[in-house]
Amino acid sequence: MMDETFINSYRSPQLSKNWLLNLNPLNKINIYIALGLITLFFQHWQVNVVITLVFILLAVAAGRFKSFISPFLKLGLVIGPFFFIVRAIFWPGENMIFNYGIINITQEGIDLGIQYATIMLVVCGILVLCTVTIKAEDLTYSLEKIGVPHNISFMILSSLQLIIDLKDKTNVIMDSQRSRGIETEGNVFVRIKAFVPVLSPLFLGAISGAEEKTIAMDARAFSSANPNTHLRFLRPTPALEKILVILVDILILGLIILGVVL
Amino acid sequence: MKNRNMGLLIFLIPIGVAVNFVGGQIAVLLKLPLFLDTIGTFTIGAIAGPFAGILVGLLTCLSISITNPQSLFYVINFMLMGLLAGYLAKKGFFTTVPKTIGAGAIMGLIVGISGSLISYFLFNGFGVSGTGVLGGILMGSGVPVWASAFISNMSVDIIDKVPTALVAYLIIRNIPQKTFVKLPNGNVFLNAYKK
Repeated sequence: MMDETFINSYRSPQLSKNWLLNLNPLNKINIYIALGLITLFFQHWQVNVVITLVFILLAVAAGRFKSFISPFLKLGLVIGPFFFIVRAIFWPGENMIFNYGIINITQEGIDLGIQYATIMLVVCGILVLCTVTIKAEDLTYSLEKIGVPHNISFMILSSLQLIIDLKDKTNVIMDSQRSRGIETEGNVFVRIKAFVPVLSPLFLGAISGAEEKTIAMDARAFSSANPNTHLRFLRPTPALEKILVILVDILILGLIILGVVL
Repeated sequence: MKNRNMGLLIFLIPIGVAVNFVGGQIAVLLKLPLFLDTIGTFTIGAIAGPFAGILVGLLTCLSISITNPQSLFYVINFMLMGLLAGYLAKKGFFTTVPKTIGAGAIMGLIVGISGSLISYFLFNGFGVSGTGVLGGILMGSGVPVWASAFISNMSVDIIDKVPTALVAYLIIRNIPQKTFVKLPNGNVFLNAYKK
């Protein structure tokens, strides 16, 4: 019975209970980027903060707040302050606030720093929101629907998988190289010398594996020109969703025009 | 025949992306003062041609930007490296050590110029990592903004790209001949190693 329900779950589009998660991946990206574009046309840091808050709200609406907030804070709290501090300390300007040696804090630098730090928060928001609300399989499927070749989908998905696989292999290779006496600690030159014996078996092994995989995949008609089947597929975009996305785009375009005119 | 070549490329491009990622991490693990996060782009670009190199660069940039959002703005640099690696390899660079150092220097120079242009126009001359601090220190000591953007980006890129090219060379040296036969740029390396 369990097996049957599992199999049946692949007979219809795989939907979740959340309306935001069910949107077409490309439509999601469209909305996020349109929101992000606002920052370019309003040169106020307050606008950027509001948009960041909108992204957090979207994560809440998608029911992914927990998986969103921790990577977002980790990225945002490193990148935002970095962008701010570098500009605040070093940017040359007229209105000097504090000056000691090379440290040169000016009002212009602080304004610029806040501006850029908040823009980076928006960028982090877009990227983290994409990773928590979009599955890579769904994204590649919807790209195929608009005409991207399935080879590209394969490359994207297999890159993501290979990163994980090769990371595991790295640890194995590092341990085995250490056990045959290659030093991985010590001064800089010792450590540089250790780099090649770790990376080259990894890389060469992967290349020779690729040749075998080519043959295996060819035997399974990967290079066939016939239309592909999909195990996991998306629902056709409902009219309501299309209207929503177009409305959001028009609204944001209106805001931008308003902002430029004012 | 052509189809099979395509097949191998489809598998090599993800390897390039993953090696970029893992190479950068090994450099961090070994506490090296270099990034070494473009070895995959260099190697795959060199053996499989500019087009494959560009794709490796693009996919690497997209997957790195999940953990490192500021690299998204340097996507042109990532693609430029793949393109240059493919082009230079076709011209016979990457076949001997001196030529490889030359290739690394050329790529460091060109990527450095484009990187400093991106930093200058998008980020007011501050790089997005350690280069930003370096550029900042230069600005603080009175160097004009454009000059500090160029100096900080170029120096870091050239210092990083030459060792990257050397590692790529060592790996290419060890790729078996039967693999080269199937690769677009393979004949360059086969001819060079025959002598």
